[in-house]
Amino acid sequence: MEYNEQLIKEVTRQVMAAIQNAETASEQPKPVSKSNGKRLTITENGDAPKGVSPSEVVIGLGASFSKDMFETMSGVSHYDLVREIAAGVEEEGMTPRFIRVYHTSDVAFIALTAAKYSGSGIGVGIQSKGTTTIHQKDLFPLTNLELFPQAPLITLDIYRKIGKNAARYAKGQSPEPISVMNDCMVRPKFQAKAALLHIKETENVVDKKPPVALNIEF
Amino acid sequence: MAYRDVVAGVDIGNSTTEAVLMKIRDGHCDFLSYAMIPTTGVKGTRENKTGVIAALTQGAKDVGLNLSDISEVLINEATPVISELSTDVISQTTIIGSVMIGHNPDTPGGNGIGIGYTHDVKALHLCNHTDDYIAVVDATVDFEEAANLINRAMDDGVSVTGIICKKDDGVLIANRLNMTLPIVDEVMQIEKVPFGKLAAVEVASESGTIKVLSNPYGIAGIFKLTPEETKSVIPISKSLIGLRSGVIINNDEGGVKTQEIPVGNIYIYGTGGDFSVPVSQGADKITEAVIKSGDIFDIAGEKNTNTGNSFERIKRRMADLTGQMADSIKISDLSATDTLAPMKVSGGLANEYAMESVVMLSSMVKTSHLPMKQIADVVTDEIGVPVSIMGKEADNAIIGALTTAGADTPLAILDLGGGSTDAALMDQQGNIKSVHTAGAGEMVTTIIDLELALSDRDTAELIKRYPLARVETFNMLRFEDQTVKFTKEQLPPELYKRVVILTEDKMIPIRKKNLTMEQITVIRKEAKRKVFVQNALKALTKIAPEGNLRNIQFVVMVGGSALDFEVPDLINEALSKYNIVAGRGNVLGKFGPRAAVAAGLVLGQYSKQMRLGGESV
Repeated sequence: MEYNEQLIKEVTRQVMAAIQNAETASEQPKPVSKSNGKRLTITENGDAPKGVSPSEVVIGLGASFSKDMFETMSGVSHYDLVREIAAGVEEEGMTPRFIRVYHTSDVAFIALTAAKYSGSGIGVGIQSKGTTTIHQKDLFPLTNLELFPQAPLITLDIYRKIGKNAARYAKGQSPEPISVMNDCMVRPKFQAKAALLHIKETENVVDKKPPVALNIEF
Repeated sequence: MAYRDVVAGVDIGNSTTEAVLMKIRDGHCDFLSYAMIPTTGVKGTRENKTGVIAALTQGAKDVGLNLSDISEVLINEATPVISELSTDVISQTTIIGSVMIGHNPDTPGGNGIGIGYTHDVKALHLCNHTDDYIAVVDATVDFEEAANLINRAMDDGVSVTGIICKKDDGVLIANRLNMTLPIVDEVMQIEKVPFGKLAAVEVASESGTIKVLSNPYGIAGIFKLTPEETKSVIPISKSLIGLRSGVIINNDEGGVKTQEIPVGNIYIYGTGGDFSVPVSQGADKITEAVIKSGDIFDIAGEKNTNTGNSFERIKRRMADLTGQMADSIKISDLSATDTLAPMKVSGGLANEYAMESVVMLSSMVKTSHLPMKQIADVVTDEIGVPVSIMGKEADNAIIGALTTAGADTPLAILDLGGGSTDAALMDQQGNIKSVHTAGAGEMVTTIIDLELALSDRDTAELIKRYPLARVETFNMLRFEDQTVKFTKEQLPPELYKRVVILTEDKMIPIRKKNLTMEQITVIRKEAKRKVFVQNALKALTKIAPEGNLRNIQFVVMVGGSALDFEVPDLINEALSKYNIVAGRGNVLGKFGPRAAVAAGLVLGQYSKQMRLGGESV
């Protein structure tokens, strides 16, 4: 096969056209922000019980979530985030239940704790800065079903999809993993900020304190 | 030179090129080595050279020889089967104007049927109190707002009977309504839904399918259609059958119609006469005509139709590859299979796909001796060893198959390959009768790819080759036959709840879509049945004494596809009806069903016991 500039240009043109086509075809309507600056009203309601209902997905929130941080690194307000994740679970016919995980600020352990408290065995862990993991109760802590490590890239519609996929795993289906953007510049750009936010959350960690049940009002 | 008597047999197949090296001594053939390489280029063209030489080199190296130690190379007459399968769509659903939405969103809301005039959800307060309405919710309206607007309108006395919405919000809205209404969601092009038109929305309960809109008389009742008009909605109801939700909007300008695309006729010219079959009659009629036509001189399609063009393409492609005139290329066999392919409904509003019927054609090209001569010549030039072309594949395959312990004449064989399924029969005198039919492993891959809508040939190939299992928990696998195995080690989380392909050394998850193990298994088995079983019966009928299958008692299966984990069983199942016992061959007592043709080439020429009687080519 001969390679020349013209051929490469033509190939590039066709690939770009295909990508653009795929994008317009799969364009999903985006959820709209409903917070208008509103904040969640979260009341803590004693130690969280371990769930028994197979139709629930437990969502574990970080120690600072809507307490001294109110939006993620991607600028999604916690109000919208919680609303969309809950909507995703509900649209699949399951029930979301929220707990706050106090003993750790590590997203893997928050998610695993949520999974262990979940009647379906599926849990979602969300750090206050937005990093999210879908976990299952029998997994090793540092593995996961789906991990969304780059908080600055997680948009509102992805949170809806995370809720949906968690509910689908809980129903025993095999959902297609959510495709996420990957930007190698996220690390250098946000590393310092992420470290500060993580330290802030870790300051709220209370050693050995069991997870707390939450009532969330919109 | 000590190795003046090393002869190599090379079998160029659609997928693999095999070489067998043997040492000839006093009419005895002693086996030296065997090598297998993926075929380079289209079978029967010059590009095969690279693969042939690679196979020979490897075979020689395995026993410490050089290429120059080989005294003669025998290659089979490689008949190309164009694996570029032409698929001809028989029917296609086209929606003109915006009139129908029929799709299976994962989670529609509510259930029941609602009939009314389409109306913007934001303007429901403007509605009168005498008519019924269908609320249309676009992307700017949040699920909570939509539910509030509808609840408020209903409280004010407006009658809303159903909802169409753009986002995946069906269940969310349903959970927030004061009453149960059918809600169809994920309607991508909701902007095209006209306001003020009479519409019907139907949602079935979980695991059910819609009943009213999938019935033309149901539609007629709703829209008060005349018998004449009812006829025109049959395509609409047809495309809604089996779905969980559907919407029909009575738009005066629009209409849905299933177009019969002129697919044209196939013309078959053979010793049994000339036949003309419309492709739209389906695979059975085509196969029947192919059998009736006896030995086929040529096959063509009607000019300026899909069929005509696809035959033209095949001939032109073969002509380009071999440097012959397109006129001199003839098609000698055709295999037709009915299948379903997902085709986008043009004009649909929710990216609907309809499974349309398709006839898949696989053609075998009869080329002149010329291209084979070219291959032989370039190989000779390259390695300096004389190369000769020896006879038909099936004839050689039967000689190879005879080396199976316990096999004896009269013997029938089936050579299940990548591109073609061949059959041959050798009687006690050594006379061979053979046929060569198009369609084998590669066709199965294409059908699996098409029917599962994978658009991924590699995955389709893996699905064809290996059994499936489902990962139920992190240490439990459920196999196709429902048996369960517990693993000692925890399975990787990316396999959790997925259907996996069990290859020899790893598990590959099928990520595409929400396919269940049962769906894939059914399609895989059906594809193999359609291609291999149908072709085996067709080929064996042609060679059977007096054309009666019952005159054959034993069949030895050889070729790469005889290694498949279920094809031999499926063929056996079908042949047992005719009291035929089919078994997998074991060429030279050690290669299983592989290497039959390559070994047969050498044995047919040099082994005294194996020397052919009768007509050998």
